[in-house]
Amino acid sequence: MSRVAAALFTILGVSILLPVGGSEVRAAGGFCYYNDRHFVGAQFDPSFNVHGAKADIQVRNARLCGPNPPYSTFSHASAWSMLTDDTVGGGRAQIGYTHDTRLNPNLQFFLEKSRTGANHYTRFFGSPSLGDEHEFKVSRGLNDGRIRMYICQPDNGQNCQLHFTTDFDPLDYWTGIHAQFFGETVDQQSDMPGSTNKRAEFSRIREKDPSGTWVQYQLTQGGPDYYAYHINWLNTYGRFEIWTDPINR
Amino acid sequence: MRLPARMGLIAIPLLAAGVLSGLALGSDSGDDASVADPPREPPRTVQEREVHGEYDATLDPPPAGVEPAISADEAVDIALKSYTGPASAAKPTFAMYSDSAYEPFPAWVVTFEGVCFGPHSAAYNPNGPPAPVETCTNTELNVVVDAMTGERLFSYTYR
Repeated sequence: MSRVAAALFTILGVSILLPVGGSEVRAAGGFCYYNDRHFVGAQFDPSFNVHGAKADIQVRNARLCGPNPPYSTFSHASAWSMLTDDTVGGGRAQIGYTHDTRLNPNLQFFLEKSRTGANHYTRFFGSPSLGDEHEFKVSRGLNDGRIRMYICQPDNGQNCQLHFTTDFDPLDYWTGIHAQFFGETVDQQSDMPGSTNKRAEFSRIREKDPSGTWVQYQLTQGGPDYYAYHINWLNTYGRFEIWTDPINR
Repeated sequence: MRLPARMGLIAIPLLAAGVLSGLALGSDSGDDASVADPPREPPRTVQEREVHGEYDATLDPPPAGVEPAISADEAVDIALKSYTGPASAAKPTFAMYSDSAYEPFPAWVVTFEGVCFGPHSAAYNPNGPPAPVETCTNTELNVVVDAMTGERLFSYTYR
């Protein structure tokens, strides 16, 4: 089967699927071809640093494309809260859940941290249930500067479980700290978490200000950068939902 | 799921192999998914402190008298249920495992070599170049198995 790309344009509310570079489209869950990253979600980019990011994120399924060497040997999709450096490929600390074709179970919690972006540590753990919500929290300690990553009860942020503490203060290495809340996938043949009827909701989004208070800033939309991925804002200060259209690709 | 912040060492009698083989957690893809059994290297016990990454994990020598309740082969069997991709070798290491969320406890750290893990994620950047695609920056996946109970706890990659 030939490689296929497709583009979708919405004109006066009418969606038109335009195959590009091939004669057929491929459903998510077929073979991976693109080995690229895609995002849909929101971020807060203040002129000053934030010191924490947290959100209740609903656990939703994501259809994934299959291994297709040499283009790609795996695929995954995730949803997460993150503190990140200013620079592309810079440091980050994030926690959320992921679907990953290499793991069993495919659906697990994950956390990842990188001081400089050069080296990364990633942990996979637990077995979240579809439909559940969890608060994923990343917080820089005001006293020691280290970033702690938690999974907490949704709605009230209680019963937090600490899963990792960095051994560095991002302000010693990063040029700034931003908060991001995104769905992500690594091949456009794969879905973002969420479907038309079962969207993945991000809610109770908060950022930690320099005084240590959790506040709500107005967020800026990021993505979607591919036609099949979508976002719907419910409140630009702290609530949106993402999903992938059930369109053959 | 075993929660972090373990305290103390409690030896639990060896579980039957049949029970251990059924410890795989629930999965969208089925509990039987596992990597084709890669060549197994002989087990080793840590003799001096080993640090993984930037103190992301620490492996210390077990105290005298602390022995694993499950064998290295059993630990590898359990770890194989965690990872479904290809690997070139499986290396079981017995150690006192600790990190920022776990107090030291006796563990088998089963290292799968020859795997491919790039950064799982990247930061969204609307103005810069595209986020980097997956590359095999990390070629080891470590699966941590409680050496006393056979519980599969988590997996991590750092290099």
